Amino acid sequence: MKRLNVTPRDGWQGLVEAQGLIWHTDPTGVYWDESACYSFTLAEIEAIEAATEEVQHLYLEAGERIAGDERLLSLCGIPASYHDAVRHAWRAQGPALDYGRFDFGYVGQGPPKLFEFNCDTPTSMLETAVVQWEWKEDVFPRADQLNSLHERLIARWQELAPVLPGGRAWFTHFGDAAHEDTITTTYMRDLAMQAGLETRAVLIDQIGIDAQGRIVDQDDLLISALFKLYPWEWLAVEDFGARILPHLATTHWIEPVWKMMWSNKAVLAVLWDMFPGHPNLLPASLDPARLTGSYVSKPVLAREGANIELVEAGRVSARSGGDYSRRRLLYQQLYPLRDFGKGYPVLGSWIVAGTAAGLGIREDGLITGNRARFIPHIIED
Amino acid sequence: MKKQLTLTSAMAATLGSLSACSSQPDWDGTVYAENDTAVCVDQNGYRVDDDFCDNRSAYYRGSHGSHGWYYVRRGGPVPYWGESVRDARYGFNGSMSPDASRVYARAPASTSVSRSTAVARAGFGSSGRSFGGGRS
Repeated sequence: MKRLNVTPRDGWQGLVEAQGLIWHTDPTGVYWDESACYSFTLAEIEAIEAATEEVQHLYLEAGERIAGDERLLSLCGIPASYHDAVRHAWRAQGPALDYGRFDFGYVGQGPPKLFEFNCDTPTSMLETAVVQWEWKEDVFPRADQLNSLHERLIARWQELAPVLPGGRAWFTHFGDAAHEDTITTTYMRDLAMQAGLETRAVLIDQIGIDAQGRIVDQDDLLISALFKLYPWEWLAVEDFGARILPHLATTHWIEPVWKMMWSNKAVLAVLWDMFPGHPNLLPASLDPARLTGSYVSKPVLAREGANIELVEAGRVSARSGGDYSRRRLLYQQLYPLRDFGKGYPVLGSWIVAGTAAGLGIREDGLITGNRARFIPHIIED
Repeated sequence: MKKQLTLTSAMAATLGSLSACSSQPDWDGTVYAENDTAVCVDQNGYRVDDDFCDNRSAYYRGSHGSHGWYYVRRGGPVPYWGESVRDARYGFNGSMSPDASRVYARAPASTSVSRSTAVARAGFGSSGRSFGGGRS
């Protein structure tokens, strides 16, 4: 694993904007950074793929344990009112994209170590699937890249189409100021259209509810299948959160509500309890006294590296800001990331339907936050 | 290998337009048949998925009176799923008997969906306003 300096393409801003990546730069600097790339050997890529698929199996077993345990459902931050819905959805295993992004620590030797799994509203899809591929084709046309995310998501939508009423799905998100959520959701909608689905768009706050608690769009059409770039932990506690429960199953939610069991940090403690010493896991617990040495504390429910603290030799060595509550924390052994010259890379390894599907790398300080830079990669052998 | 993005222009279009109404101003949702059109209804006259009347479909229920075609005249309103062709409020002007001299088209895909009436809106989104987005 190496970090290579690369000359950015002339007019790169216009090139990536044309592909939809309009948030490539902000006042603090670049987000899409093609002044460098990471290079991996094929053996290293295969280790990353194997770790990705292995950890998915661990999550499946953890899901089975959590679904059968009220205490664990609560520890995962799932409101009591949603326990039955989560359990029923897990048992039913209804339509799902079955996708997500594992964040791994990896320095080119030793097994990749899991930091967390983003599997309800994972993003950096466009950068991973399209932008870095087009960059590679321009700059390293003979090299390969761990990247089949675009094709695998289309294939997954093709598999779902026959079971979605009318072969139709709605796509919803929050209308964010940077338009990242807008574009990411539109990209996912594009993939569904390429798979032959009929699609409609609805902003999250345009969704209505009828007298029976069924959700409708802005034209009062009953939403039969809904892809959402909006997390379950927010939906569950907002005004409609309780009202949708009686008819939750009349809509195919993508991803399904059982993803609440996986899309939190407490599940990392469940995994370590079930699989202590697993080579792809870091020791983790809801009790810091159970860990030795340096550790990271993260809110059970938070996103984009917010409200994290690093504790080394008993002192807080780094901390990130944010607006999430630190009332309930997960403690995870600190993984010694390596500074390759311009920051510490975290590997975002994508999975679709149980198969490793792509790699996106973000580089930042000791805590990877929402201002981390996206660095493309190639495979050299 | 090229990755095909069919919505590239639509991505730019969504920046300023997603919050705009996706239907025509003052449109009440009624779709009018551009051609003589056949839709599938159940024994109570409620529109269902056309696959239930299509003998080539895995969902075909056979000609035992449980489902049948309803024939909408060109220019007439097309029922959505779940709407009753016997409900006078909708003003459907078709028939259960086809006109042998006419060729009937399938209903537009936009009507292959159920309608209801919202009693409340904007019950989702408050967390997004606080945190700026739902991504992770």
